Amino acid sequence: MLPARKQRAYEGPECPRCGSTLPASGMESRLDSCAHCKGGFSATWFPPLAQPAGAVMAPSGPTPGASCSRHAGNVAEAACGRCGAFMCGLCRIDADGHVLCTVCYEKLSSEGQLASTVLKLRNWAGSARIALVIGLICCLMPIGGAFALYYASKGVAAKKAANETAEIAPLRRIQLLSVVWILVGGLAYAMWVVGLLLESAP
Amino acid sequence: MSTSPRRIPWGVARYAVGLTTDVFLADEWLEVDEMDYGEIRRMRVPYDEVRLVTSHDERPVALLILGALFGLPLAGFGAVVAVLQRGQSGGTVAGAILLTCGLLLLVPTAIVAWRGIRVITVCGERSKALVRFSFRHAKADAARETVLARVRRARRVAESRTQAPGDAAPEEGGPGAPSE
Repeated sequence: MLPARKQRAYEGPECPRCGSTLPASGMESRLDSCAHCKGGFSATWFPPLAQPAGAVMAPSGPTPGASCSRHAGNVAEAACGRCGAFMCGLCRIDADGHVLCTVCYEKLSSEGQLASTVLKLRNWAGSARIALVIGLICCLMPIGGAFALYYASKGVAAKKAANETAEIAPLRRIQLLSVVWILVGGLAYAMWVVGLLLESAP
Repeated sequence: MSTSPRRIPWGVARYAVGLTTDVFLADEWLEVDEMDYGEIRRMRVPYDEVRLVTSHDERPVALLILGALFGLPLAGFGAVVAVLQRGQSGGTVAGAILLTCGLLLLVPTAIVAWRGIRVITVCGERSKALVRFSFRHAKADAARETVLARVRRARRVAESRTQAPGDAAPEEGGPGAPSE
């Protein structure tokens, strides 16, 4: 079994050399070295941003504007792009160019319909490379090539769907290599069969 | 009509064969893809959450030792064969091939030993991104500046959202500005 990569919970800015967490006072002191490993680095610190104001409170009594569907005391500042419910600043979520309420956001993200919320993907390029290597090692180049071609094509389709067009070129190279695998392996097998036939001929 | 890509490759940090981390520049965040054989785990470092951007040079000792261990004997043996078999064409060719293979290992090792690998680390509040530039230090510096510019722009936008209409934005180099 392959060893799992060591993972440690991230707790804030770390020393780039040893990975130990830097003190919270590093910003004020413009820290550019680590007390743990004594290593130096060129650092640009940024102070934490002030928290945004949550929502504008609606005035009491009858008002001309609508109130949030979930927070009756807050003024609605937008309507959900999916269900149309009025939302205050607390409920509004901007995702993938859509303005959504929390309920619709949860629903769409759980269904995987919001590309920005998908955080686990299939590594099609990795699978295709493994198929190529296994095909070469096991003398099954046409089969490995066919699998690699399938995986690479799925990868290209996935990248196109996610508009990650800059990352298609490596998959195209794998597709080309897969075709070479199929042709060379197929030719080798054909020559082997022809050789057997010639040897068995009287 | 072609659409612009959602993200552009920024750099790679390799840990082992098949274990790499690709970092991409997206509009609102750095996207970190951890390749783990059959799966990609995606993390993000939003520009407005960035707390620290660092740059340092490191020398991968294990890689340097391996390069020297394989490169020096190959190049040395190739040179000896080429000198001893000078009169015979086959020996010279064999020596030259061995010498070339050894130099192909030794030259990059020597460059890395001399200049080091430049590492850019971007630490956010909840996640971090790390990119290694082996031979292109100027590109590493340009990449760092690109990220810093995006972080500053995102912070300006975030600050303008949080400030009341009458308040003025802090000037560059003022109390709210990043410190180097």
